[in-house]
Amino acid sequence: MFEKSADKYKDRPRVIVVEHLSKQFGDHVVLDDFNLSVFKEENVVVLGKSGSGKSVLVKCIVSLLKPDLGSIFVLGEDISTLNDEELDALRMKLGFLFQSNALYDSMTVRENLEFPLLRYDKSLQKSEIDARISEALANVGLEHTLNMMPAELSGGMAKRIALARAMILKPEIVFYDEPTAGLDPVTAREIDALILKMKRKYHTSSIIISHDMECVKHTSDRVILLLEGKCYTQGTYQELEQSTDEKVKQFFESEM
Amino acid sequence: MSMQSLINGSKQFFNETGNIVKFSNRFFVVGTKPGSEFKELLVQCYLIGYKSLPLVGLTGFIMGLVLTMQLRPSLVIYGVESQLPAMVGIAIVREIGPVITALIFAGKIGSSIGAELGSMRVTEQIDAMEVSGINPYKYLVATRILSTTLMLPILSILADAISLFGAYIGVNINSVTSFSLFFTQVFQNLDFYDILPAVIKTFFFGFAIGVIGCYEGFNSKKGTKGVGRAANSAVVLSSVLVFVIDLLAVQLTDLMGFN
Repeated sequence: MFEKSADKYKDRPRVIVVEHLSKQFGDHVVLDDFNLSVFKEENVVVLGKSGSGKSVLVKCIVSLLKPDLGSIFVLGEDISTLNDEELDALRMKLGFLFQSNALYDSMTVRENLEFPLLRYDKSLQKSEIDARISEALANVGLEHTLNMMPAELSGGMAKRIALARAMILKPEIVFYDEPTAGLDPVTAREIDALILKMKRKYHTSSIIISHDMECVKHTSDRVILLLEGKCYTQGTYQELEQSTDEKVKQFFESEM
Repeated sequence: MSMQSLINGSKQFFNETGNIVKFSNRFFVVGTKPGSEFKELLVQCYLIGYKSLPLVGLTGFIMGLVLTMQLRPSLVIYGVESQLPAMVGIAIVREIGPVITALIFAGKIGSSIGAELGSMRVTEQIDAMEVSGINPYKYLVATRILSTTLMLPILSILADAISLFGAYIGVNINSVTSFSLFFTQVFQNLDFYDILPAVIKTFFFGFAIGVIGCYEGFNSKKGTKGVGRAANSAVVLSSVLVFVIDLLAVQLTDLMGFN
């Protein structure tokens, strides 16, 4: 079903390959023999009900959680075989936008952005750091927040700063965990636009977790529906929107 | 209590103990690797050591004063009031100074580390660090454990000094004793083996407080309730550990003939 949806990207290298991934917590099976490939510069949206294992999936991919079974290859590397240093080096090529933003609340905006930069390359000069921070803030249109604390930012501003931080190392893959959750529709669409802007500017591949169907519509190249721990179906937004399958229709009808 | 709950409780205890030992072992693996977070270590030494000085100093002063005032009547009864500086000196340097300082430190620093790391855990700040390729154990935990291990002995020595000054004031409430006479009497009755074990054990107190505070915070779960629990457990567990380490230290120094 919906095989044509990957046509545009299928000749490109795969940046993420998940094979037969299983994860359970106690008796609760969250992911069950799940498979996924993400191609270079492709935006894949993982759609699913709350508690369906979407966040668990991305946390397994970035190795915040260890899978029970299966293998995960990120940028060609099997993450289960990497030691701590190799994993840290790989993670520097990844960006992660958390649902809660996860800004370091004891640091200013500048320090939040500076923190990964200083550890990424200790030889960076102050002028280079300043330039990278200015570029990151200009990308999200919040240059004036440089010396503000996270507590002083609105929800939308905090999300943008978190996005700027996720992009500061110019990652090859970005993970967006519910990027528009808790935002008003106007701000949510601004975040959608920023996600697309980052893709165009830095040629990133992304996995976006969302059940905001507007966000799915605007940002996805391919949508994967995660149900009962498995990939139930996948395709472009338009393909899924026209589906007659009751379980797929539920997501689109609830939006209308 | 049923047998099953006793077994479950024991299992949980040994599991938790094993996890704490594993967590503290990581300190020696991660903390000794090159590329240490020296700047963060200095920041933590300032926050943990320097910022604790007023509280430790105040409690030390009151401790010395009260101890002297409480001891005096008993010594007067036996006609050995002149031994007051010596007794107070030995009690403070060998036992009361290090233990009370460690308990105050556990209350102030253990809870603050537990709450800070716990809050960072539940707001995904630690995860954010991890996915940026920054080792949170190295940045957050190793620096805090090293700071508590280094700062508590210094604070304890300062608390001893302030406490002895408090004792000097206490002695002078009911009699007149010169500063030099008081401290001559104190130091005449102290020897190297009174001071050395007392200082050494404070390194262990500091290490235990740092490890427990970081462990509880780093492994905090279940939202804000978990943060509160982490702060609380950090204080309770590290205070108990201070007494356990003190007991072991006394036994050890006894065996080695230092008592």
